[in-house]
Amino acid sequence: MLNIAKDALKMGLVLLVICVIAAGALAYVYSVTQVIIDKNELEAEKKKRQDVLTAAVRFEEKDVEGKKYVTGYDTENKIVGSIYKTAPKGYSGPIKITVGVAPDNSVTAVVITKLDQTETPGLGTNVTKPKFLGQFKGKKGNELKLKKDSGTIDAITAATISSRAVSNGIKNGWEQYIKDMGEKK
Amino acid sequence: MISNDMTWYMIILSALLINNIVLIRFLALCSFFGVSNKLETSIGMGMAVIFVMAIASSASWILWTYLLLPLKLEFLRTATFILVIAALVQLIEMYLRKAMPALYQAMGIYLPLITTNCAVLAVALLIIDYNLGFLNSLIYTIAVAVGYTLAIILFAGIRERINIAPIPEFLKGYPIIFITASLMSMAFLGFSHLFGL
Amino acid sequence: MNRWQVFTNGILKENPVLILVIGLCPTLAVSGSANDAFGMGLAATFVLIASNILISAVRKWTPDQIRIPIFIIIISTFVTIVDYTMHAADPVLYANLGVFVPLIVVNCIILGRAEAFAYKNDVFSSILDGIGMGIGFTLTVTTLGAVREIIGNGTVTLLNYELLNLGEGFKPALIFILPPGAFLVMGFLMAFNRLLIKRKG
Repeated sequence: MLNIAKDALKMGLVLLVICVIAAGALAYVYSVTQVIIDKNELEAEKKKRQDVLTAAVRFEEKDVEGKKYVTGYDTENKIVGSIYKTAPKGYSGPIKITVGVAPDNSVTAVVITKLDQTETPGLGTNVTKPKFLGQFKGKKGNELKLKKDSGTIDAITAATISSRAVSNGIKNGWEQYIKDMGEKK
Repeated sequence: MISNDMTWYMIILSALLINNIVLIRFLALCSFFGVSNKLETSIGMGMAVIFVMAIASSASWILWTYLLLPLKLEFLRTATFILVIAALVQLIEMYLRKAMPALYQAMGIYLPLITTNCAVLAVALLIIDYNLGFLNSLIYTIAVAVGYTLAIILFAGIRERINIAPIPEFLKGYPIIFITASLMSMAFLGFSHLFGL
Repeated sequence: MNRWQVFTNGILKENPVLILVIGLCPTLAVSGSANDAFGMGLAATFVLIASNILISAVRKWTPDQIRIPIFIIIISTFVTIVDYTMHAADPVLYANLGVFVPLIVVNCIILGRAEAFAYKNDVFSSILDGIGMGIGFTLTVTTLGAVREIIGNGTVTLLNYELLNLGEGFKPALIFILPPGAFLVMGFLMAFNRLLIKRKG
């Protein structure tokens, strides 16, 4: 009887020691990597802003009726454009889109990184490629829709759902942007 | 992708057919190929998985929401969940043997196999990733498990036919089974984007 | 078994995926591209070697009755370390592998080697076993990934470098990077491996 109790105590102790060491190691790794993970996300966000408004050197965040917009300024403190974000539902989840708009309300550039979407590899993921996204440059209003929907954008072959989600998302976001920001210019 | 704003039947459809855990999401493959050689064993395994998965998911959801999150111990998630599942399987086995011998006879031998069934841990992790509420988690978990059962029973039916079919020597055994699974997966791929899911 | 045999065992004769048919879930799920597959291979190999070392080192102090929970704690600790490190080092790879990173913990290869090898052998042999099995796993997954990526997408990427691109003229057979392609290529890879072993006698 005493032996069983002793064995159980020993086992409990061994397990406890291992658990404590494991938890300690994990807490350490977590604290180190979390800093890097947060920094990566922040930098990815900064890069996206810079990519859609290449001429901007300074960005300012603005809240307009609960929605977040970012305005970019150049070295002479002149507005070079604004950025809006939209996340329409794609084929297999939301697609996060960052769009830059010039002062004349045309789109300057659109960025979707690989991390912003979960579309089918090889098909829907092609919406992240410049060949597709480049088409939006300089366009506004209904031009931002797919050709199939009487716009000007070529859809990606065999990935109409993802293409349509992106173009409609950009267009709806653009209309919202004009409504929120247009008259305040 | 499952979210809280989906209705219960959308969650069920998505988990059962469109994102079938075995044929589309590639989980629980070891047991899918391992015990599907007979229809009878497949049914037993399927029932055991539904049972264990429902209990394990609920337990890990409660642990996550009321223990790990408030204490900021997110990094212990994987370790906690796998230990909970292993312990639960043991407890269920002991309980069934004592209290329900008939049920134990039917699915007892499959229980130890479930600890290493990655689908159980995967679902426990996914309901956290998807931020589901408790009821939605339970619905999702059961639908996933039923999806597993559906796939393994269908597959067992086909395998019983394969066993008596003439097959080229170099494809006998596992190769032909994988090719069959590929065709089944293709059939399930046909469900994709049903109802915009 | 001499040291060399311990090492090569996992690559050929007891290749975990092709011969023992374990560790299938990650193998099939992440082999849509050679890059993801190789990342998964490396992650699993790291966990395998690290847990083999630790389990072998503490095997004399491990009470027999509770060895499995101890293995699980050790393995899941290393898996979580890999999880956070990968998230910090390569967010895109981390997003592609998704839930399969924490799922390394239930990869039968790792618990299997802990129980069958590391718990019974010295640290050095356990390292060799871990490296051998890891190479066997990584090689198989990466091959599977490369085949699927060439046919299904016309490219091969490794360590985020594009090694091969068949260009615009190539019309890829998309089914190969979709789920059915994984089962299909796996079936033929197994058949091919069998022919190879047979020819060798």
